[in-house]
Amino acid sequence: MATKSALSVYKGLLRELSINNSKFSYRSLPVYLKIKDEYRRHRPITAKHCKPNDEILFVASTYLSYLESARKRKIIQSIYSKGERSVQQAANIVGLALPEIIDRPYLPIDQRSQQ
Amino acid sequence: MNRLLFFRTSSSLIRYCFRSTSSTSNFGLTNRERKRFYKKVSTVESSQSPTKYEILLDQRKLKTPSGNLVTIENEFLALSLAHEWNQQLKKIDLASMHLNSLINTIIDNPLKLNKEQIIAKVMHYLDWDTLLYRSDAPEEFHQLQITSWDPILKVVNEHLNTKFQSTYDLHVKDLIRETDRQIIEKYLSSFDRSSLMIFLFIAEQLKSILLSICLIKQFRSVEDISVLSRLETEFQISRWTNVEYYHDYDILDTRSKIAAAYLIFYCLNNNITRTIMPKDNV
Repeated sequence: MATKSALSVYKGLLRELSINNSKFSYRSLPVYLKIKDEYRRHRPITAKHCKPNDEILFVASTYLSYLESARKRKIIQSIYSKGERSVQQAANIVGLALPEIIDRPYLPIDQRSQQ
Repeated sequence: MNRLLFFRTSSSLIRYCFRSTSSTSNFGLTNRERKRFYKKVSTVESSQSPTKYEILLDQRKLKTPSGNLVTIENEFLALSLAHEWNQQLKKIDLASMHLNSLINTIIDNPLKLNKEQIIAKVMHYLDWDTLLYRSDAPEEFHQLQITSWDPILKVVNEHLNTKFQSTYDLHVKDLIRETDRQIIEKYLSSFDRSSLMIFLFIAEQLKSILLSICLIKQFRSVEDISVLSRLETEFQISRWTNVEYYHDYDILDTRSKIAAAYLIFYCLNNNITRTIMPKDNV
């Protein structure tokens, strides 16, 4: 996978922060301000100083992949952790329905012969 | 005849009976599900040591499970930890908060490990490093291993002056030379105890020291490293299709753990803000 550009990492981070904060906008998050500050500080200057920029970019893309993978893992867990289907639901997949059972008053099964 | 309808006893009813509301020093967060009890998460500079940061959950300071105060030197790490706590919407899902659990482990050191013990644990993974034991059975897989893993070996050998070689045989003895072992030990002992604990965590997730070294030197991204550590699984997926709830879950789990661990490792060894020229982390 090619290394992402700084802009796409930035956009990804904004998306992750805004997804998780449905109540407030991401602007109020201090993490957002921090990331913005870091990006401004480490704008690509010349080829001499490229090495520290790549390092910080790596850290930023690691943070992005952390947020993204944690969120996706939760989604998968919520989809697939419902357990097995009941017999009724399994029959419904192919369009069948279980027969209706009318309950009778309870009859004792093991009747001992009255002495 | 009446039809009697029985509703299944819902599991939430059972849990309701067992929920207790006692609050201990760590907000009682050990095993139970807790609702989010704080409205605001904030990061402040610690009053005791002004260069460190603490996290406040609604005016209460965040503590580890052992009761130690959580102080973080790096501003970015403190902010991302605060963001992690902020992300919990209704329930606190401790299992997914990897930054939090790793930082707790570093501060608490529950197994009371010192540096030598951690290094010994890490060296244990060196003998059976994933990258060194190859298989030549399906030819495609053979080629895949060569193209993916050989560059990593080359980089590690160049940077550390070692001579790691791969083998196709399980019975070979002394695959790792004594000199290589000493070089790795010396490299590991240059980190402090907290960084070593993180390194051990990464090695446990990836099952390979060489890949962990490669991650730390930023040679490959986190996504690539997590794919490389389970190369055979990926090969089988390409042959036999992907099962989302197993394969995807597994790789996302590994990836999130490694990413969190790498963030902490970087932040422990490099101060992102205050310095004018960032230090080298190797």
